Amino acid sequence: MTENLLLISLIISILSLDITIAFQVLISSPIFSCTILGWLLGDIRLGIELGFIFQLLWLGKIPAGAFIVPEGNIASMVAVVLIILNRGNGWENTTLVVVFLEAILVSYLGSVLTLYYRKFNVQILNLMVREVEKIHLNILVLLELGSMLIYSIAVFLLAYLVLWGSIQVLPVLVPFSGKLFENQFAVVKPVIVGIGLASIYPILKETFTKLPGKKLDPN
Amino acid sequence: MTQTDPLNKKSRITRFDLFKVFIASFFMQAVWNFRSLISIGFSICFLPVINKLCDTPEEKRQFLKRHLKFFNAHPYFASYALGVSIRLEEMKAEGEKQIPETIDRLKDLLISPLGAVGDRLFWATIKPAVLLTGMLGIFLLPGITLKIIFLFITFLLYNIPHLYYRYLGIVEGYQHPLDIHRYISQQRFEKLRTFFILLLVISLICLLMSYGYFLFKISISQLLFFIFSALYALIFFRISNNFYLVVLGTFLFSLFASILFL
Repeated sequence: MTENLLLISLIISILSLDITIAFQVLISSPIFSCTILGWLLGDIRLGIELGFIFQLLWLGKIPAGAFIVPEGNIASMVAVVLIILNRGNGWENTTLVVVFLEAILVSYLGSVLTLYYRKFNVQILNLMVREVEKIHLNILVLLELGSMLIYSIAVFLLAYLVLWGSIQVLPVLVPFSGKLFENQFAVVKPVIVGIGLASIYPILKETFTKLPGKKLDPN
Repeated sequence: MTQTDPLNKKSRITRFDLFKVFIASFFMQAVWNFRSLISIGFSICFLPVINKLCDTPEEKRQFLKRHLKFFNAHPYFASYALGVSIRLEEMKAEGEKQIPETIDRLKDLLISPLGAVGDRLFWATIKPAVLLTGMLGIFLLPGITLKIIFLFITFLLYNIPHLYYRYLGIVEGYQHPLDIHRYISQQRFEKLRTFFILLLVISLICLLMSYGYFLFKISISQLLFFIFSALYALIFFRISNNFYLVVLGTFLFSLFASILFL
């Protein structure tokens, strides 16, 4: 199990590079990343379904400029792994409730990680300015790669620690809560999708906002 | 300062060089930092062409120092600034004077329009439209194979305009460095935006109706909780901008209601 968790955390850290650091081809978005992880973990159907459930939730925050958004893509990837690893435990709804709460925490921790990573990159900038004086072009590339590697390691550690901790806690917590509320928690999927729908409201507002100065003067 | 079509004459920079810059531009935001924002990734994009633009080590030093200064733009649309900078640096290498000041000024002027156009087109329109379409597809289509094929189409639907504008930006910036404002106006992307707004609206309506009907068939309580949580969170979002507060508040309140009433 430990080797599997290491491998899964590594895949999460590689996919998370797509969020802002490299490529940005949308492969880290839940509908894609959860499908990939579902396929790797042997349950692609569940991966697709969870990608559908989690997708809207994180879409409303635009990562424009220096604005740091909740790291929902990392959170969704961690969540899908936990749900697939715990499938068949008989407490499907309760597992989703607990994992969703964890995912919100992970999205917050991910945003804190991004904040410190961006602060740390100021040191990389200072190093680069020094290397530019010496015209060490290869070192500039190495520094860029080094920065990306540091981000990957940080995400890897975050994912691994959350996955490892959850695997210890979930088998105790889920049956305990499940015995009490499993039937009531049957509404968890529509509730998450409903919150997701509401959370895209700011982005829809932005989409349909007319630009100033575009109105034609009737005279 | 004269402006000719540089790719049609014998120039230092070839289309293949611009393609190498295009590949490097995938790491535009690699070392995003709070002091110079995307300037590190932006500077490193020039490495494939720096030897063609600078003859001496001192020129290279000045070149990189110039571009390591503060710069920010939408990551895809920053390619316009890349193309502009490459052409202006080439003109400097060909003996044009006052180019460094022009580069600094132009880059400063480009920050706002490139950010605004890119954010509005990609982050606020194409991305949500494509993802909602993808969601609709995987919800409605039967069978895993069809769902995966649709996901692949969704991936292409986003990345065709993404890759096109990333590359076109470099080429157009390089060909028209001094009148680049004509190529990055909001109006130019209006047709594309309209197409994706339509896609977004159709997908959203279809998704709402089909998901609502699906929940209705399972149980009326699921449909009611779906509507309730969406409305509750929507009102909450209008009151507070705190994502965590709204999501957790709505989620826990909905669960509490389900425990009480189900």
